[in-house]
Amino acid sequence: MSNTQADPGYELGQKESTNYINASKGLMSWLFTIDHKRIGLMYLFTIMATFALGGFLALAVRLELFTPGETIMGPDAYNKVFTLHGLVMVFLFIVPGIPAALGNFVMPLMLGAKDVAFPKLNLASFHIYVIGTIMALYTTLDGGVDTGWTFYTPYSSTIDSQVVMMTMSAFVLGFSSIFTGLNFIVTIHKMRAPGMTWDRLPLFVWSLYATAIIQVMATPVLGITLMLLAMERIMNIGIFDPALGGDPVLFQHFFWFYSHPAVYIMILPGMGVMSELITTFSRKRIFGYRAIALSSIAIAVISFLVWGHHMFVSGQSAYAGMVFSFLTFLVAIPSAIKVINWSTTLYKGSITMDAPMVWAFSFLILFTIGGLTGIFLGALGTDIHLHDTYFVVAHFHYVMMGGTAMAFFGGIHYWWPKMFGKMYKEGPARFAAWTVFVGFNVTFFPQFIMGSRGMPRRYYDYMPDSGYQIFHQISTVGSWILFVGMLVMAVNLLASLKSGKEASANPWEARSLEWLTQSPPIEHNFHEIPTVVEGPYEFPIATATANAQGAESSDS
Amino acid sequence: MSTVITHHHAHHFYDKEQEASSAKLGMWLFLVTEVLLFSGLFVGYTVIKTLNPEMWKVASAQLDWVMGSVNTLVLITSSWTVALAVRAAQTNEKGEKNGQIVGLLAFTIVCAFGFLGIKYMEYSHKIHDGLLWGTKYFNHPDAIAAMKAGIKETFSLDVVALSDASFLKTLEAHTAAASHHGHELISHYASTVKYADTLMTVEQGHLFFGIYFLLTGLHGIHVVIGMSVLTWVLVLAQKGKFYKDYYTPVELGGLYWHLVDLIWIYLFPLLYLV
Repeated sequence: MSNTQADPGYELGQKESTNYINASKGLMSWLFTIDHKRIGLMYLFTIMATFALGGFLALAVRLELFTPGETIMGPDAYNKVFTLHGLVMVFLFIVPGIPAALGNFVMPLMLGAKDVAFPKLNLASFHIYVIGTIMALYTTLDGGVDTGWTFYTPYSSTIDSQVVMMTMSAFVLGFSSIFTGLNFIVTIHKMRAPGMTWDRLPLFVWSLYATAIIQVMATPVLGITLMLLAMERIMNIGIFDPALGGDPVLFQHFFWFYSHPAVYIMILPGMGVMSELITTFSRKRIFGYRAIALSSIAIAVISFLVWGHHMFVSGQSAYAGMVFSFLTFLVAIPSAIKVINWSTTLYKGSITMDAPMVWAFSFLILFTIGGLTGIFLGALGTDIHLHDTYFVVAHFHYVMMGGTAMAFFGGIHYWWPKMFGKMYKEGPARFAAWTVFVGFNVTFFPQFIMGSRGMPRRYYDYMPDSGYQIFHQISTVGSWILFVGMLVMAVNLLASLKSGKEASANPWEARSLEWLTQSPPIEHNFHEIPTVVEGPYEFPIATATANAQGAESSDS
Repeated sequence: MSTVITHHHAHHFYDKEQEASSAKLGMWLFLVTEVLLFSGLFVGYTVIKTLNPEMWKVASAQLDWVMGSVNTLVLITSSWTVALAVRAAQTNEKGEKNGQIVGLLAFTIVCAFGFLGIKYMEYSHKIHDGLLWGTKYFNHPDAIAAMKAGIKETFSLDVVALSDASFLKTLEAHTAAASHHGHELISHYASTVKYADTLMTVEQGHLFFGIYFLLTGLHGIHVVIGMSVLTWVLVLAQKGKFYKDYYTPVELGGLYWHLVDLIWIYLFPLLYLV
């Protein structure tokens, strides 16, 4: 612990009886707290509940597709279920996921700050998130929508369903996202401890910074887009309606101007978690710190210039298509910089396969597959064949679930001891991670194959003799394996709250500031603001002792 | 009103400077989101104008540029007075300028009321004439008449309604003649197409007014929010909260008000003059 001069007591394992969890009691002390750690926890549990909801909807979709024709629900119900699955997973789970839950908890600790810059705004962001979530669920009970999460016009502007209410829910959730992003940018600029230069920021913080830039700059455009869609329905303004002189493709431009950058809102924080996990469990300084940090910013910038690749077959000009295709290929460069630097960090490291690291390896493999298949879709010629097929579904699930969700779960396991002061059981945690990895591949790999053979996405049905059934069935079985893995993970984590071993201040022997305070941290994070004298990944050169310690912790 | 209440910074900041500069950065970021919120409507403006240039020309001429100009002056004046209020707070040594801050903020808020009053007059005139959004509301005899008059003035063309029996008969005759005799009546046919074009112009006037009401309506909401913020700042100033070491709310309220003005500075030429 030579990198700071603060709180030497924690190194000796001294613990205070009060921490942020037991400092005050009662429901109100949680619901109206302005402590970033408590807000982070409330986000975490709400977001995991929405993930469970989205997951059950996905299981229902997969079960329906097990056989041709009606299996468990009719076509109208199916359309609503897959729409809701998309909406819940995108707007309620994956966009807020890592930043609002893990970021809120860890980022101020990593900076050596007492809180985020605007604690009340942080609480407001959570309250708005809950209001938006309730609106979305209410809409679902009140008939639901079947437009898909993309709300494409003219279908969404003309059909008789609860589109207005659902778009308003997404509009409200957008405010929550903007407030989090704004708060994080100001926090990272202004709240760093003395000596915490930009060169010493943990890479998770860098990725949150890049994410926050996109949240602040893209989300307002989604807001106005959804408002225009609502106005189209309520006031009949005709801006997206060709019969009234408007342009339906304009909606797609607006929508993807937000929603493409939004996929980087989803993946960048996951990449940040990866950088922390890989370096800690390799016990090695990260390779190419500055390249990884700046590639996050590069991804944020380029993300605003590629939205047209969702519209190669929507009638935009061939010239525009070429430009968007080229820019899309450019995103591969910063993404590959990250993957290659992580791999190089692993090289000759003292790797221990603790549960967080198993999730990290899953990410590395699945995200690489997801990223490379994105190139197929970014290429103009192949996209015409693959557009709107299961290939697209498989691609973005490999990136979003195989990438972001794996990093999220890895991050939860990594920071769980810090959050609750308890260790989960390592065996079931690893079992869950490997089961999810297997189940994920069984679910989604067949979708690449049937997509390349022409199975369209979002379809309720397929012909019995079309050859798609076997792929659908493998995929559905995979979804059951996934479910088992998730269940084991949830039970194992929750059980640790009750019966887990006490966690030390720094169970992984990591080097960033959040491990300097006790687990769980005291109310104001640090007794004294730490003074930082070196970077976050200054691991001692791997020695026999370090290896022995690594082996010991992996045996526990 | 000569008292000064000393401001203490919140617990999680080191000092007042860190608190003030954080608040200012946060405000600038928020202003960025506001600009981007409007940007969607500006793009919608551009696309609809490009798709329907004739309609746009005729419809935008229906706006009253005199009222628009007066409102521009009102807002620019209010931007000036709010800037003076910030200056007064920054140079407020012993609370002797509290009254000045309050007065300048009050004048700014009065300007905002003036702006909304003039906007109300404009809106009620448009509602009276049926110059509104959407085909449902725009389909009003006065709106159609106003557009037709505008077309006659702008393009020197007479517009005949599709429902006009004699026009329909002419159209049919021209079409039939063209199909039977081919090229010889092509010039007549071309003039018919011109009639049809201008008819489209009349009918699609609703698109302009859709954009007009969305842009000015969203801006109007921001005027109201700005007024509320300035009123809150005024109440605090009345209590003597602001002096040379602490004036963040005055400054942030002022920044927000400048943004509200700035958006109008773009809206005025784009809607009234182009």
